[in-house]
Amino acid sequence: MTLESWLYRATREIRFAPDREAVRQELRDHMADRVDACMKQGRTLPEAEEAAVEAMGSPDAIAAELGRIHAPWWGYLWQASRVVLTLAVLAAVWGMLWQRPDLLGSRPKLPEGDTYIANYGPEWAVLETWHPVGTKELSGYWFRAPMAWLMGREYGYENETGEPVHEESYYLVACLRADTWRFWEPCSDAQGMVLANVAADSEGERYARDIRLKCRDLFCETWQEPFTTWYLVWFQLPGPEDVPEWVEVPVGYGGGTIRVNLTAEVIS
Amino acid sequence: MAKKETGSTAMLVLALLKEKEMYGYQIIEELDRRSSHVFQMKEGTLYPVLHGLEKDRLIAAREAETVKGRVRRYYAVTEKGLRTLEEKKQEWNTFSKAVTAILTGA
Repeated sequence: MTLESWLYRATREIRFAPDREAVRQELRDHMADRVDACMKQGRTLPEAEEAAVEAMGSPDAIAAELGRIHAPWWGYLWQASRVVLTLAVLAAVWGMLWQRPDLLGSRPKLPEGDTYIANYGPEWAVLETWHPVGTKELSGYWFRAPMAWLMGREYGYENETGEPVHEESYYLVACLRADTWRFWEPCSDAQGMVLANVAADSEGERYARDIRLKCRDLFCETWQEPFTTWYLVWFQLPGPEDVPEWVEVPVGYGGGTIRVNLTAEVIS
Repeated sequence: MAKKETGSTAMLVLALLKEKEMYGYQIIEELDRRSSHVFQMKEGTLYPVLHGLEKDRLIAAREAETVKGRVRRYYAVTEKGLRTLEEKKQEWNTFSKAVTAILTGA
């Protein structure tokens, strides 16, 4: 009988594989020590291995004893608890990223818009906010619109003849997020895809970045985080009373659009 | 729960490990040397004894790698093991005296 066949037979009753391999290794090292000792006494390697196997005794008798001691259930339970713990930690991290991306600190604090809007200057005022609900799936990305708001500013200047001019500027801003579990595939060129298209609203108006199209102004900012691409889409409005029932954001992805319904506060 | 180890091999192993931690092969060699070759057990049978004692928490194991890359599993007796050893010693002394008394016709 070879060393390995003795080891196999002696440990075959241990049903929990990691335990079985650990015990096998311990016995293997013991036999290696015995082989070394025999060779120091002048035996050849085959003779020393034969002596080591002989010295170990019956593998079958040992197998039964080891099998009784190394019951598998605690081992499996231990392994299962580690898997469950790992999954729980991953789920917690996932939940954090999904629900509270602001914890990563890489995006402005959009809810209620205060911090983010303040960056545009004190002359801007938020006149109305919406919190649409719902999710729309496009090409594996889950789009939501956590917030939209109407912001405006009034400003004055003197024209070429020195007369004072008073003007007002209003924008409807739709904040979108596109989530995916494929963190290595964020929405590529998200800003370019929006600005290359023409947006529309419920009143039949069109919005575009290209001034040659003679549409209302459209602007888009995007930024990316693990699992999420954020969009801020700006729709120019003539006045605060011109908020449409809905606007459609052309996000690309096979011509897909996200319709943000401000009246019903839902996206589709 | 593992079957309580009550054999004399277990008592001898606990007695050896009380002095210092040892690995399996070392225990076999030490038993052989100290008993003047009387205790020449089959070496493989030591491991169910060691693992049974470990499962009952009478001994504890730690692993250390040798220069040859072998992993030695060193066993050391625990507090619980020391108490058990004392109990076994007393049982053995009682048994030994009784046998001696019969054999010598006292």
